[in-house]
Amino acid sequence: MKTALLVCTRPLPDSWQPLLQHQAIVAAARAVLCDAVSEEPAWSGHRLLAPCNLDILPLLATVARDFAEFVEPEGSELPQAPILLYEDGSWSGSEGMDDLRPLLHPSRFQRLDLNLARAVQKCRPEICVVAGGFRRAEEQLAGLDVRFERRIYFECLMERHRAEEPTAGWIAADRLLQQAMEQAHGQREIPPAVWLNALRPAAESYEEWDLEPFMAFGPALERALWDER
Amino acid sequence: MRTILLQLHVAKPVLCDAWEDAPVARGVQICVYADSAGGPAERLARRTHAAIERELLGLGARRVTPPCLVRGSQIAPAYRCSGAAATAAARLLIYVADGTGGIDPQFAQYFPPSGAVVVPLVDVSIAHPPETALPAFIYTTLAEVTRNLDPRPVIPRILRAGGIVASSVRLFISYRHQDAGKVAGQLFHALAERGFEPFLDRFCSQPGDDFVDLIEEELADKACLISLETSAIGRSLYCRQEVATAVSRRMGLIAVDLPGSRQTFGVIRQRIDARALQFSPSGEVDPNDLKPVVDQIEALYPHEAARRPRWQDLNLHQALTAARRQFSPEGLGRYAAQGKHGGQHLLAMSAALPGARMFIEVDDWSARCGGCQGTVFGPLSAARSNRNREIQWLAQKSGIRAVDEGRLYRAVKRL
Repeated sequence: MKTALLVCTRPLPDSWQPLLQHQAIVAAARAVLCDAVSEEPAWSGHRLLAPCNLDILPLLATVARDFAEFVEPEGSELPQAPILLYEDGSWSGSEGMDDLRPLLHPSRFQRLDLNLARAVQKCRPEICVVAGGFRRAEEQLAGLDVRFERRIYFECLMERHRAEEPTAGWIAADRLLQQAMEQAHGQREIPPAVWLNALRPAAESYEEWDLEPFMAFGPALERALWDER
Repeated sequence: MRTILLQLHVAKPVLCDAWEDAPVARGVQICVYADSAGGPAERLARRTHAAIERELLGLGARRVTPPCLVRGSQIAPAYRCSGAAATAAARLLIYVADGTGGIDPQFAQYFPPSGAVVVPLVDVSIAHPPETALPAFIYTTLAEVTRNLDPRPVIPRILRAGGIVASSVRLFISYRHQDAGKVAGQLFHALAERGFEPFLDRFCSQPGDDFVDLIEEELADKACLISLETSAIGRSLYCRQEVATAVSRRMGLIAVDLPGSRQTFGVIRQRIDARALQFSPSGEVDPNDLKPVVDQIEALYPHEAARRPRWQDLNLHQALTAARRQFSPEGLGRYAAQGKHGGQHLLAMSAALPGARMFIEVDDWSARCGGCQGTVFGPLSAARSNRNREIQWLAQKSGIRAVDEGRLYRAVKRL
């Protein structure tokens, strides 16, 4: 069983970055927690170590709820929560925390009450997923006593204005997916997606969809996390 | 038969398509008609036709070749459409006024107000008041008025007139009761008058209810969430969870920044600035002041509602491409893929928890394909819950696999 560390940085406001980041977080949680073999939906047994951050806890709750273990009425052991939480300092500063405490239900989350360094020391995560700016994530990870088997980030979430350039050993999940698709296109004719093909070309500028850039975070993460190298 | 025939007529028949699997109770023939070509009426007619196409695509309908083009190479005018005779139980004429009040008499006879739904569309640049531009047979029909030849604000009402809707225009209004209860109610009524199906109240929760489950249920069949942001909305557990659930289910997201808003939910990019609204002591606003807010929601809605169908289709398409499976498109979020050993698999993607209707659709599809294996992907629950039991029962009885979206790529790779 593995533990995947999720590192989030504050995205650029007034842009699509916050929405893309949230989509990436949901996809990361599902890709880690979902069992890949069982015929029926099942928890993989892997756990996610995520920040106890008010902005993303509700997102994680939607996924954790789907993988929360059933409590046996006469069981002798407490069930394991699928997601472990480390403190990033943001919870204590939030207003009205008492009203928000149900977010931390023990069926979904196990709050470690440890900062990142101590949580990493305790849990020894094998995987690291960065959902946000690469440079700021590296600052968080600097000096941590941990060796990751896989380190994953997204180019679409990088802070372009900071001219970020990841160090060696990091996997750009979105670029990896894009390369796989380009290779597939090079080998045979791939039919276009129904969504892209079904509409007549937009005659007017306003007819273009005003949506965030599309990114298949789920498949990208699955490839980056679980494909053999 | 749930087919829509969508036709464009600008002085002559121009376009005709059939759309299958549309959310209609019965077949509908829709004709967007402009009597003359070359002027602003033609432009408005073409824009209206394109906007309806986008809506139908967003509703999951599949474009197929219409009967007239199956049999020959010429598009027939609406009143001679053989496809309509076979499939359409209802007729909708969208009359785009060109200022002359003219109409082909055969159209007037084919779409009588007594037997069809006629929606006149008049741009203020063409005629004002609108009835001065209408032909005699619909002179007393209430016209939809557009500005700048932009039909988007009236599209929801046109679709409702044609009986096409369901979850497509269902909006959920998320708000903190202490701050915005009254204005939420006003917005509810204003949106309903524009042809939307707004939802306002939450389910009453009982001690022991899980709020995540409740919110999942309340948002299950909604296309877009409207967040009424006030200074203290961040303190609301339900508002936070509603926005998060809307993100995870790929719903549309629109924020209305009311006075005091701190733009708490930065994840919502489409924002309507209503910070200048004046509240009465009872917490209400002047309805005239609310109108621009509703106008902007109408304008933003088609784009936001497209997020979910776009994700359903492109996510599955890219997973299949990256997994190097051979596949063919069958519909929005529906693909037939070749397995490793040559068998064919039918794959369907859902952003919300798949229900009986999806299993029935895939089962029918499988039957048409000679009994291929079907698989439905969605946000399933591994937890021992009623939701899980229901999905597993449907899967077992139908023989269709239900797979969590979290292993989409891995499942497709193993086909």
